[in-house]
Amino acid sequence: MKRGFMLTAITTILFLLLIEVTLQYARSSSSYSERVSEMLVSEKIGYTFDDIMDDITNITGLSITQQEANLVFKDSFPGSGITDRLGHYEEFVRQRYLTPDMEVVFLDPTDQPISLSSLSSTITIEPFNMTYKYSDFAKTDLFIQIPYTQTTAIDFVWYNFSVSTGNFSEDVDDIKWTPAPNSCTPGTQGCIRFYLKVNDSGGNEYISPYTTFDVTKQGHLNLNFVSESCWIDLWVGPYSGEQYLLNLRIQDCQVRSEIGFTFNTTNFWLNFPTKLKVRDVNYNTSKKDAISLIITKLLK
Amino acid sequence: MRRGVVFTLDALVAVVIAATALVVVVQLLSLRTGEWYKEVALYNAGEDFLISRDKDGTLKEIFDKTDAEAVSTLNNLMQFQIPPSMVARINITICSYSGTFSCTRSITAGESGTTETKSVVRRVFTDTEKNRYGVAVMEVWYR
Repeated sequence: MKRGFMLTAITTILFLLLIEVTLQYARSSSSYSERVSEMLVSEKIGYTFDDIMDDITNITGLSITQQEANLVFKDSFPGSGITDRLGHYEEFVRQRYLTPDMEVVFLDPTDQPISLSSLSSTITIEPFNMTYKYSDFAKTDLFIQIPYTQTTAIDFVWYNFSVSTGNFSEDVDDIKWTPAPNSCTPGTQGCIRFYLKVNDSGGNEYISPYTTFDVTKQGHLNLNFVSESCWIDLWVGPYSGEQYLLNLRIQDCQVRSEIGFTFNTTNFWLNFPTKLKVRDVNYNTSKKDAISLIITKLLK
Repeated sequence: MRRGVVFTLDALVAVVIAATALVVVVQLLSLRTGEWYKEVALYNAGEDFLISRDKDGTLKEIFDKTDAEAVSTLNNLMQFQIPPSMVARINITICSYSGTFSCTRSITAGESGTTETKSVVRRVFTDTEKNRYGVAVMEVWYR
């Protein structure tokens, strides 16, 4: 009887242990399975986020490349119906691309929902508080600014742009800055090393003879083209009470622009005020990040 | 003594039941986790295909291709890029915008799978300057 009792007790304990092991396994396996499914959901969210960002970059016509301390903006002017195209793109994404379990929201800097056609046209380069912006996506202008105290963060700036809608209306030797940029000593506050090259559609090339300018003094270059209505105004330094590294106004010209900055550090980053949030409704998992366009980062 | 035997047998039956439950739970859960893993692998294959075809401009080129040309291009590319252990089918819907979206073309390439587990990957691509928009939906199965 005692042996029977012992056997029963041992088997009962064994039974309870097995039940406990089963429950534990079920719990851990279930959470493991949950993690794998969450991994798939995260993958889908990240992929959708990049897919949309890729298209927005293409629509804006701007591409940014970073290689160590060098930052290059490739852009085209003017923008043709970019705001409308962004709006149509958003409509298409909502109507045809997103599945019912996927939700996409565009947010302003205060996290309020906005439409994609309200995408901000200002890019900030931190920690210099430098801005690259247009009045709007019609892109008939370009403003690049940096606070005076941060100017020493830039080693030099090069700017190449080519106009495809006409030849210079005068010989390149006759193109003059009025007023001419004030030369200065590189490395001192407010002094920018600046290389400017402009090409027209006939293969003529204008290279600015001024390789430095003082941001506190205005320099102005007016470029006219054979095409009757195409002209470009370029200012460096102060204009209408503000200081610019570059203030560009474009009238009826097709321009491809490439501007490069070499900073004295590799420790900088770009901020874009509009954010994109992609959420899986079923799992309530989301990714929210700035619409950072696509920044191509090159290795050495 | 007999009562002891009955108790012991009773307890042994309980252990057998518990062990069976353990085996069943292990089987079911590992089956479920395995399916998720398969789906992740299928999703990655579809994702890689669509990302690379979007980046190299293949998807955008379809706007200007005939349906037959598009099917041939996609079949060739899938043959090289989709792993041999997988099979994929892609459907592309092409729309244009003039006040509203009108989707008049639907192109299907590749072949369907027969296994139960599959992943579906979608990609949007555009040529907004010409008001053309497309969505590629790719389904990937194991052979």
